[in-house]
Amino acid sequence: MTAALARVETWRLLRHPFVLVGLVLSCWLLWREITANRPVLHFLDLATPTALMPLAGAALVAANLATLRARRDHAEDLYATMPGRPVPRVAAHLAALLPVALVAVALVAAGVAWAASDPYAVGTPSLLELAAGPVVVLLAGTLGVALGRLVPVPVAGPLALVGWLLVSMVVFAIGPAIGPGVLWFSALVPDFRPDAPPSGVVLARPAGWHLVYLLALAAGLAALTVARVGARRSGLGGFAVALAVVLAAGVAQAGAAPGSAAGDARVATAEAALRQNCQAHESVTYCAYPGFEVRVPLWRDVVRRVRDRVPAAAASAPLRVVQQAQHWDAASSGATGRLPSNGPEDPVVVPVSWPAGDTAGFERLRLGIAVAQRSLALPALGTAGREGCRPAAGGGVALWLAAVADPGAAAALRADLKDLRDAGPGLLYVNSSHSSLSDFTWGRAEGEQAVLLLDRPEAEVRGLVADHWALLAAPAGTLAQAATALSLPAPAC
Amino acid sequence: MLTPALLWPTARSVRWWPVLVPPLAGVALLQLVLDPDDPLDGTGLVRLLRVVTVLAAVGLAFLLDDPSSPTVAPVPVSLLRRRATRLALACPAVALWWLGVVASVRLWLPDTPWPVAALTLEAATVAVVGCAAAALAGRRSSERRGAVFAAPAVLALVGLTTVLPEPVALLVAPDDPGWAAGHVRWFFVLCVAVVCFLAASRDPARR
Amino acid sequence: MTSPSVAVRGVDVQFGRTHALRDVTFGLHPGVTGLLGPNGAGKTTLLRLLATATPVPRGEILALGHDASTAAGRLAIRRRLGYLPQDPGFHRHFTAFEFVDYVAILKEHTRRRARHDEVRRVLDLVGLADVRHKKIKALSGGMRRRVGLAQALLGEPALLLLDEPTNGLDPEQRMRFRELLSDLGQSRTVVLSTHQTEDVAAVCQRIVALHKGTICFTGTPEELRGRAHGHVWVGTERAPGAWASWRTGAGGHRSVGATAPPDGVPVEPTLEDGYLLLLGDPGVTA
Repeated sequence: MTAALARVETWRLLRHPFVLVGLVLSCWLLWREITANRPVLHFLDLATPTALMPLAGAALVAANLATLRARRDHAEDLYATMPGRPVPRVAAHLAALLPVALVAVALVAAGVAWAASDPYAVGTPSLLELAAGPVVVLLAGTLGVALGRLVPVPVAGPLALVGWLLVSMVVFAIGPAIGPGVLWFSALVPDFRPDAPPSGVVLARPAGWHLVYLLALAAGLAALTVARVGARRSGLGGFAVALAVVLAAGVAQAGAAPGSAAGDARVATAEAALRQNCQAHESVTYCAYPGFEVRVPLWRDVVRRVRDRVPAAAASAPLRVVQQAQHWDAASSGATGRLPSNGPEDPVVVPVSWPAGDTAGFERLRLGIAVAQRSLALPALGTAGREGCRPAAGGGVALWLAAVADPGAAAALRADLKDLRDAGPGLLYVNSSHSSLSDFTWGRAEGEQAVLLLDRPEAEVRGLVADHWALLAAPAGTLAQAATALSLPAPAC
Repeated sequence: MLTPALLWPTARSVRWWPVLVPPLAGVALLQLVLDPDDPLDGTGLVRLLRVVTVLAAVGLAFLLDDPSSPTVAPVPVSLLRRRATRLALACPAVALWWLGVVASVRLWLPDTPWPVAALTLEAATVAVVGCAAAALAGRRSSERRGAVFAAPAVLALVGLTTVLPEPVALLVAPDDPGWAAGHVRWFFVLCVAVVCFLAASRDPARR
Repeated sequence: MTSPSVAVRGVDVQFGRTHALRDVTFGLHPGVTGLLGPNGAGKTTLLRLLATATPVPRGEILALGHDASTAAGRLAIRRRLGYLPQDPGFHRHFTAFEFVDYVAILKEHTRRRARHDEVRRVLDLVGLADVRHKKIKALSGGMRRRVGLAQALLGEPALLLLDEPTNGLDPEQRMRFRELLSDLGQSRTVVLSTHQTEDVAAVCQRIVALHKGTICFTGTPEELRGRAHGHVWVGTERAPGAWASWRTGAGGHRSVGATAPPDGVPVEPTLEDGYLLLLGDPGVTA
């Protein structure tokens, strides 16, 4: 009987409007997660539970409504006279959640497959982490069924959903202070940016224990529900066992989780350069974390476009391009840990995550500017943040070099400059939100100069730049001098 | 517009506890989370208050549930007037509740500045969205159980706002340059919600 | 003849692909009219339209001289209307008195003393005077039905629409209800939607029969009964091709149909026979 009832309930649950809306939202979130950056598959797996949260919430509410249906329609009295006791009906409601979880599995599998098909995808996803998302859906649905029996009022479902999110918020807020392992008591992964280094140590969620923890939570709720509707002995027995497993797995995951990983991460930050694999192309050395070597062509492309347009001497100077080291800082709940990267001699740093789509232009612009900054030996601060009005001469040209051969970067430059203009005269600098780094921090004067140069024929500007390279790269040169040399109006600064 | 004689029987006809429990849970939550020794920053406080207002909206979605609606469908007092009576009864409670929220924050975090007016606009909007969702759901199914669909629908709508892209974002952080523009959009949503509520409360027999 | 108190012209209602009413046209005069039809014939839809609970998508309804498609017309109709829906809703924690009083306020009975007198009057009419201070959730199903009926009677409405009013009433209450209806029908227009032909036979002056959304009969109960003349037999066997045939308590077979059974004796038809024949084979009665 349970199987037949479960088929009916499954069909009803799968076509419930909330579940359909949740599925669409989850698809969209997952798609956004995959397409925002070139995929790093072992970070993507951690993002799946959050992306599946709408489906999980919908499963909670829809399963809750389904359990309350008989009560709502005053059919409980009728069902009470049926030979089948409530246990099979509860079991059917619980079993109906499995196909919803399977839909989540399919969604995750499709998403990961799509992400893996990206030529610049990096890493291998953890199957255990990928399983966590669908299990969260299952857990949410089980909570819905349990509430339908334990607190049989319609307001309970939505309240429980808000409560769940609140508990997650509170755990994320207070967790780090108590110990990073506490974070994993929430079913969700904190809102981290997927740009940490590819070290298992850094974001070491013990995926296996966490999965056991989630499954035991769901099993405990299910057992409690079964106990409530009649099968007291077996239900309470099951609940006790599940509770023991929840506690054991919870302690195990908290203990194994990065209690020490924050320390490890700091070590990882310091040793980041050592652990990267380096390869030399011409005079440039590119260092990437293991697995990220496939991304070197992306960076080389930007570096070459800039270096092709500077005099040979500057173009052949040695340059190091290394991947940013960041780590999950439990104390500040954010990704921190930067290499010093704003001097002419320092390596150019690229972030671990590399954006895809339109935003990639901003990242290429930033990298191009950093390369040009090294070639022109520019100080870190341009007009932005600099006292007085003596910005370095090469600032505008550095921006031009980064944007001239790259339409995406040029569009990004114009967009950033527009933001600067819109910000009014009081605000002078933009630290592009698309980059977590601060290399050459340029201001409006450099930007206006670069845009004027971009509007002129490239060959003409290249000639002028080559002729006046000494002035542009001179530490004592100013932007005003550069403007005169390049036949540009004097910068307003 | 309102019939004074209706106020008391309408007040009695509302099932108050699903309406009141969620916002009161929100206030209780504030008391639990706000800690003068470890004050939240502006962004954290705004996020917390947004969750509290969503809770209130979930409660308000239950305000319009009326089991007697099939019986009283063809009475001279229009549907809009009957619903307005319910809202009028809830308004003082909602205002008091919000004052309580504001006072709690002032009491616990006297030194944290926060945008009261903007958050009042957000709270009012979310509340009206809750009522509009209940009115629409009541029209689509039956007024007896509109909230069963409206309350989760409010959550789904709030979920949607969390993923809105930048040009139309609503959940803007207080230090974001888009804060003011975001609140123009909030006001727009408020207007849309009011129109939806009125449209969903028209005479059901109107062609 | 005077103009009808309710005139329905060319009303057509569709829910998705289902045609609930097709081009329905009829008129009602003061007196009790029975709206007969099987389940799903469109009776409730028609009654909800007459009650101004749903919009009239196509066609025209004039009730008590007012057009139901205009806001002013609906308000005027609602002020003189009593309506008992098929599935009425109550505030179950109200007492019977409180609930009817609540509806009375919604029906614009704002003067307290007069309203309370009126509430007591209608509760008395439906025989609930003794239990008027009991909560509705404590009342039996039949009593709740009577609470619904009481609110419909508030203010002596000129148009009374009752959807399955006798469901759940015991025989004694049904008799009292019939008495009440026949009194009310002397001066008002009462529409009684039902599939119980005994109620119709007992109190209705006219019948409107619906079948699959169309009107298949309008006339007096006598006319409907008369249509079965010569089509009802009692014999020892079923009549071949009978629309309905059942073994009676006396042992014989009572058959309603076009052909007589071999040893059948024609008998006087009832209203139910006429109704059965109407649904079963419109050709016979045409």
